[in-house]
Amino acid sequence: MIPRERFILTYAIIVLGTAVVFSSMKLFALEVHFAVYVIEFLVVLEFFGSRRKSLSQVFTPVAIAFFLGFLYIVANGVIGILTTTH
Amino acid sequence: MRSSGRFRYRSLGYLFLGLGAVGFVVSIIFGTPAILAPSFAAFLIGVLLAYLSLMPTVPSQLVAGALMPTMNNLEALFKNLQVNDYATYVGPRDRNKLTSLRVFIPLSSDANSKLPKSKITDKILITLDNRGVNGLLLDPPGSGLLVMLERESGQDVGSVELSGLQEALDNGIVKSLELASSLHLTFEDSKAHLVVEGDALWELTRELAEKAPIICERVGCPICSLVACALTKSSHRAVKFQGAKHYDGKHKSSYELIG
Repeated sequence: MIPRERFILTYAIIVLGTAVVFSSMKLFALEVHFAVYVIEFLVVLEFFGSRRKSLSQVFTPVAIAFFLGFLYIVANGVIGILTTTH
Repeated sequence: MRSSGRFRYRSLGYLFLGLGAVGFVVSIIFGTPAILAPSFAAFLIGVLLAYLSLMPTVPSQLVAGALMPTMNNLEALFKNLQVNDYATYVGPRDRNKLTSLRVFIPLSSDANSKLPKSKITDKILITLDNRGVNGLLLDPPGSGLLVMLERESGQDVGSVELSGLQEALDNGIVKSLELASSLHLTFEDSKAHLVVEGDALWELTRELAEKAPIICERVGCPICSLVACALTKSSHRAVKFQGAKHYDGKHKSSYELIG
């Protein structure tokens, strides 16, 4: 199995495991799921990419896209808090 | 067409994307939010797999790193032998007693006079068609890719007519091997012109063009050489390389069908 396949397999196991745990905890907010999945992606990528530069290069655009999505969720949350307090 | 690693990634990616979408719709229609989390996870995994299918399996830099030292050695050898003419691709024929495709690289007359002829074996230095032209007879740089192309696309280029070669190469290079994003082969009398864009081995090509100009312009980079081999095999004639240019991820090369 080549490193990128190991990376995808590891990430798939972690993400699906997290999804099952969240469902059992009755945590259904999609924003929370996405934020956790993004953090997991970045952690797994850092773990695998630290030993293989080409792997981190391949997944850098995905990491940026995920991070932008994460920023959107955070910004949305902050705007929501600000509008309810004012 | 055989399934490649990328095809496998793509199929698996679409399967996960489909599972995610179906789970999402089911959770909304039946009001079961418990399915939402795994569906979203499956969707993300699908996106990753589909993205991975767009990436080359072997990074171009890796191929360049593996091959460049050998190519540099060959370039130095050609320089010392004063190779300054274009190479000719010759196919297996009874007349020339060859069993497989070879590229004939003529040596200049100056180089011939300087060579210690007693030490040269006929396995390396030969006379082409008894015309007194000495040169090197080597395996073409693109012969390995041609074997892969025929294996992956499941077609024998030798049985393809010249009129159908553009389509055969498009199937092999663009669709099966995914070596390039587009390929155009045009014919003009006995000459052929090639334009290839979106080269997956561009890092190797770029370094070859920069550091090994004799190989790149006189013999052909692996992709230009692959097309020369295909032309030789399809036309059953010798093909003389007529030079190549490599810039902005493009290969532009010309060939002349002789013999």
